[in-house]
Amino acid sequence: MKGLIWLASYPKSGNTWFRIFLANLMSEGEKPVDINLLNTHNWRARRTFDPVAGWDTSLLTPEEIRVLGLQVQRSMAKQRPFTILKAHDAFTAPDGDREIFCRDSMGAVIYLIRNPLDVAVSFSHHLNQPLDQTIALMNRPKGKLGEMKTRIYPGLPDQLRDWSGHASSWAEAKGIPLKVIRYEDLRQNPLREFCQACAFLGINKSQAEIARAMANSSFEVVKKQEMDHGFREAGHQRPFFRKGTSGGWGEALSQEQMQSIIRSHGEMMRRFGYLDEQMRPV
Amino acid sequence: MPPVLEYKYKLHGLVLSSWMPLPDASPTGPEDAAADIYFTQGQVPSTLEKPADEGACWQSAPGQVLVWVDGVARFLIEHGKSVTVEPCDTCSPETMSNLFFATPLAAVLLQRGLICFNASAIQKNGQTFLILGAHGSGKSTLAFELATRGYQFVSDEIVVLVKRQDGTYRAEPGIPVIKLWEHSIQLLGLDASSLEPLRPGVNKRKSLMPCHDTSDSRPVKKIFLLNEVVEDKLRLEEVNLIQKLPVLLEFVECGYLMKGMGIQRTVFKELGHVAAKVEVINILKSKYEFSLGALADAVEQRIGS
Repeated sequence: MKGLIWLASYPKSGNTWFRIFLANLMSEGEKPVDINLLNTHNWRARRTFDPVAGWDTSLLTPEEIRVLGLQVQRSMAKQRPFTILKAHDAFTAPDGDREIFCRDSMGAVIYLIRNPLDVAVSFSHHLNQPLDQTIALMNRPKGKLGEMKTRIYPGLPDQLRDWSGHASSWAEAKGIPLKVIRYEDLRQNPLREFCQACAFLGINKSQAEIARAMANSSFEVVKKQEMDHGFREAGHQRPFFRKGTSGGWGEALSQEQMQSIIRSHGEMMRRFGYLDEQMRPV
Repeated sequence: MPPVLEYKYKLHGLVLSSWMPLPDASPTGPEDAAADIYFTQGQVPSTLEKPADEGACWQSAPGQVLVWVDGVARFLIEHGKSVTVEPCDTCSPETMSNLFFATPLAAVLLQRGLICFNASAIQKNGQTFLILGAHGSGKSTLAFELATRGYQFVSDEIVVLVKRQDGTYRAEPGIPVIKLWEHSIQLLGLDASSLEPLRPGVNKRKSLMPCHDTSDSRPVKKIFLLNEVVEDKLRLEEVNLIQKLPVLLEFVECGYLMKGMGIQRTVFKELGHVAAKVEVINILKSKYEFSLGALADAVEQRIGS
């Protein structure tokens, strides 16, 4: 496969789990890879982006960076084919419909989607901010992650949009090599989903190898690694790997919070099987 | 015949002659010699004739670097002596100045065979201390904090080391400006409205550093390396000789240009000398608990030890 391999998702939707799985699969080792030494880069990390760009991006405007981002992707695809990159950006920018991702350097995209009711709980925990604030971010059409207002951030801001805008920008993008995977399916039938994902990405591995990589990236394994040695991608004073379950939102969200998410994202939630025909959570 | 240009500045131990005013830089005194570097306006090619390496918006070859921002400006840097800019119609002087002090300046310094770090530098009691770290690690913030504690500001973003005849490495003063993120401004208790924005649309402001002296450089005594780690407490540890070299190499300013320029071996060798001469201390900042005051205290304590 030629071009960049993208693992795209709204935050807290299984992207890191998928990256750890791929790292284990590629390492072909018997032991789990160190979660602090993952070789799949966040393309928005400035230590990845700036050397390819040729500029200290802290000097550039958001629009200059957006244009530069397309050039960076082309350059990465040319210099390092089969690079696996993580992205939390929507496919198109919140301001208008300008594309953030370069179609002609795109090898394949795995888009991971998760029930936004669960995302809200996990994201709130990750950001160490109240649920209402997190839900407001998920409902904000021009939502961004990682602007430099609350702390110095070693990456460029992720252009999230709202949760629905994020999901539809990817799922409805025409003419890109895309496979959408639901986090819930990945949890329920990981072997099937990982095998299908590998086939889609053109990764030629046996079922046994995939099963071993799955075992080495299981929730229990990564949770233990984080407890023993920490995880540099974790939020402030909070463990990154928390519960690793689906449907836990029922215990954390109030009726009002649940309704706020459903009001804003009902259509996309129903489309991906998170609401029934009567718009009730499945 | 070198061009005759209106503006002259002193930075990183060199004299820069420029076609446009560069308000952030320190003007030369009457005693300063002829220019070492010329910054002119002119036509810049769209590509190098024989690029040896390239990225998204740069190409490098022995003696030549081309770097550009589409719709803003293109820069051609040649032989450690000249930087030519071809700005677009909409490119403001402040944008051009800010861009010049980034990759083009680093490229011309590297072409001159100088060791350039992406770092901040401060000095006290005749000794210079460097702070290295990844983007957003807090180098400028720490340097500013130490400047408020009586340290003299030397340089920020680009720090140039020059080897003197006595074998010491000296950090030559750069431009007397620190660029700070909004969060750093809050952390340092500064009034954002008193600081000039870097450029319209860019969430960074600049602070002029009054303690700067372009005629003074002192030996580099210690290099601090800022790292964020998943530990509960701040910790400092010395980097051993074997680890020093890759660490220093990682923070060469615009180090990605070196391969195409064909200077990797030279830089590597020079860094080896730096590693042998200078103590490197890893600052392991806790990801979970951060206090600028505690960080500066720890660095000061280590400087005094």
